[in-house]
Amino acid sequence: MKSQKMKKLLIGFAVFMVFMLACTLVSKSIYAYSLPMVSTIVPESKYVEHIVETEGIIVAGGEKPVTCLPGLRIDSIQVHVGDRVEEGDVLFRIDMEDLEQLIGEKREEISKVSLNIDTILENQEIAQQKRDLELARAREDYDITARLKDTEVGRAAENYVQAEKDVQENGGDEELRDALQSAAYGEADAKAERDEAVKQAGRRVEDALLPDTAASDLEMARLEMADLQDSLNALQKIKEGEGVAAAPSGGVVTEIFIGVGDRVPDTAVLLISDESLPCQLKVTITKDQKKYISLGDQVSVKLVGKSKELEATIDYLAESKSVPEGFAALINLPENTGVPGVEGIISRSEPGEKYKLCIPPTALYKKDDRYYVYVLKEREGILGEEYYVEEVNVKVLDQNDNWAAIEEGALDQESRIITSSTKEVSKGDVVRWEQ
Amino acid sequence: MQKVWKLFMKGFIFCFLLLLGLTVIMPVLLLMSGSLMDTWELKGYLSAVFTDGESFIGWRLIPEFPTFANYGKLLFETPQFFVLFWNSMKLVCGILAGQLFIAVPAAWAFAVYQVKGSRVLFALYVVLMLLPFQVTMLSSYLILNELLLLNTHKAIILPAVFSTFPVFLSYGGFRSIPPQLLEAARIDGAGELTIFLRLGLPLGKSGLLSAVVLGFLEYWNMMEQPMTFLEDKSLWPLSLYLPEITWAQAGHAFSASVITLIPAVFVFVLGQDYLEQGIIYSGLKE
Repeated sequence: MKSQKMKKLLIGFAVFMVFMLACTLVSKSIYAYSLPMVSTIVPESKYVEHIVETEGIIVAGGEKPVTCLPGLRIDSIQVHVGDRVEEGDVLFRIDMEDLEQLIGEKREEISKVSLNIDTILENQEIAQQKRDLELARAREDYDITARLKDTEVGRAAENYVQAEKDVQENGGDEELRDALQSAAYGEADAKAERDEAVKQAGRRVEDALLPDTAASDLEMARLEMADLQDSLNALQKIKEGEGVAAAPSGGVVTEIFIGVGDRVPDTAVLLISDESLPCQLKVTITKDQKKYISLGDQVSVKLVGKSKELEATIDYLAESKSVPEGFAALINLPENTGVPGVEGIISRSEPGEKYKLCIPPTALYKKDDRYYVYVLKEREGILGEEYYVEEVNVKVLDQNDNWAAIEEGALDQESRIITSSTKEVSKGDVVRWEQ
Repeated sequence: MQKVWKLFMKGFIFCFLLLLGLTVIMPVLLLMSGSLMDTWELKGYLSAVFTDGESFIGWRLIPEFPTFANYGKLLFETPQFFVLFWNSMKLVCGILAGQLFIAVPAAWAFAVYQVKGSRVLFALYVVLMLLPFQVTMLSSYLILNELLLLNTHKAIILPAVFSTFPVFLSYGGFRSIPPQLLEAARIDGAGELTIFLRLGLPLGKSGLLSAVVLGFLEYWNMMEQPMTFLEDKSLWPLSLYLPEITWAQAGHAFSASVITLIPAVFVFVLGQDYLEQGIIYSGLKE
């Protein structure tokens, strides 16, 4: 009985040991499978050159406006922004019914103005007759007035002479002297009255000689008539051309200001690139790229569809109004190069310094304002030598798309920097090293 | 009335002993229940540990949300535990095998052959047995260093192989064999080796097995020797695994403790009867 119990206990202990052995194997395989596999590099000595490469679009060097008689209604637009047109190509069409209506209205207006002119002419004739009569009467009044007043002055002069004679003849009688005085005053008054009456009569003659205001009305009506006639002629011309608005010169449509059904404004209907001026490549560069590119710098330009690269200079560089913290740059292309709307790429290489410790940017992490890398370290663990991840703060001296230069001290040329991992790793994690 | 009083006393003693028994077994029960609790439940109970003793630790014998996750993680995702488990097995088995090979013949010699100075030598053995590890630690360290055995399992196994305690325990078992029986065997023409193998070992097995059981329990739980002589964690025994576990992994620690307990329980149950006898022998007067 006792040995039976012992046997069972021994079997139980053996089973336990076998179970532990099995668990040892299983746990090792699960553990190994769960460990992230990392690959590393050691820092290298490199030149950190900066290559600025950015895309842009070709824009016209200048633009020509296309205008049309204002007020016409657009029936259809045959072009889009970016379309290339040759001289004489149809840009848009005018609504012919509306045009007919406008022509009718113009003719009506011309008729009205014509009638107005006739009326003015008739009125002018009547007014002229009236004026002639008034002038004749004024002149007559003037003559009569002058004559009458001269007579009155002559009489006053005679009275004065008589009074003077009386004084001389009859001595210095008080009464006679008063009479002489009065006669002198009377002569002076008569002269003044005559001068005033003649002046008033003369003015009336002058008034009668003034030109008639109807003359300017007639002139204005005639000018209006000429304008209407011009407009009518223009409308007639458009009608003769079957309402077609053609391109005045070859180029690329850069902007359209109207839509179908709109009335033609008195400003430009659309803009066409001016092919007499060379095109420009317009690019937007970032704040970081701006560090390595300046006004007047030589850049390589690669246009889409062209196999050969061009060498050009940055002709304009200023803060972009449309892109926040961006800069707009313009590069004048050689004549007859590029078509507005086509894309182009500019590139510029700025040779940098040589740094002793350079790592790929993918191995560099940033948290807030702190840069750090994961370094593979070795330690003695329960499972023997094991690799683990250590977080090391670093200072980045320079960086491009391929390399980041790290300040010496935190790292050395033997440091194994983790560049990739099969799982996300963090400080202290045990990992496997893909050597 | 006397019968009732007797019954009452019997019940009282039973309850008292049950209470004492429960008190003794309570750490094991707490260990078992803790190993079945999840992290959050354990954190709730043990939060007092992390709050500078401002409150008391609470506990439930039956977990609110029982889980075997701790065991699953320990057994299937923690190879470190098994490295140390097999290290412990290697150390304990090596020590016990060595002790059987060295200590048992020594005890036989002390018990059977009365040579001049053997009593003094045995007394010296007993004195050595009484010396704690801390006393011999430095000298052991220096010797092991000279022998280039530091940071190897031999640094733990070899000193333990020559421990005097199993000699002392086995000695009691061998001394219980009547000398007349051995004399009769000699008269019958049995050689000394035959007498040792055929008579000594079977008759003194209680002392031997008690030495094995006590040795297993001692070396399964040893901490000072490996901490002193082993530098590489990969050589450590299981007894050093638990301090490696942080409080955040309390459930893991409880389950590891339970698993660690199992081999010791097996060995104890297997050798329980012999252990009692062996201890009795060790108390026998010469």
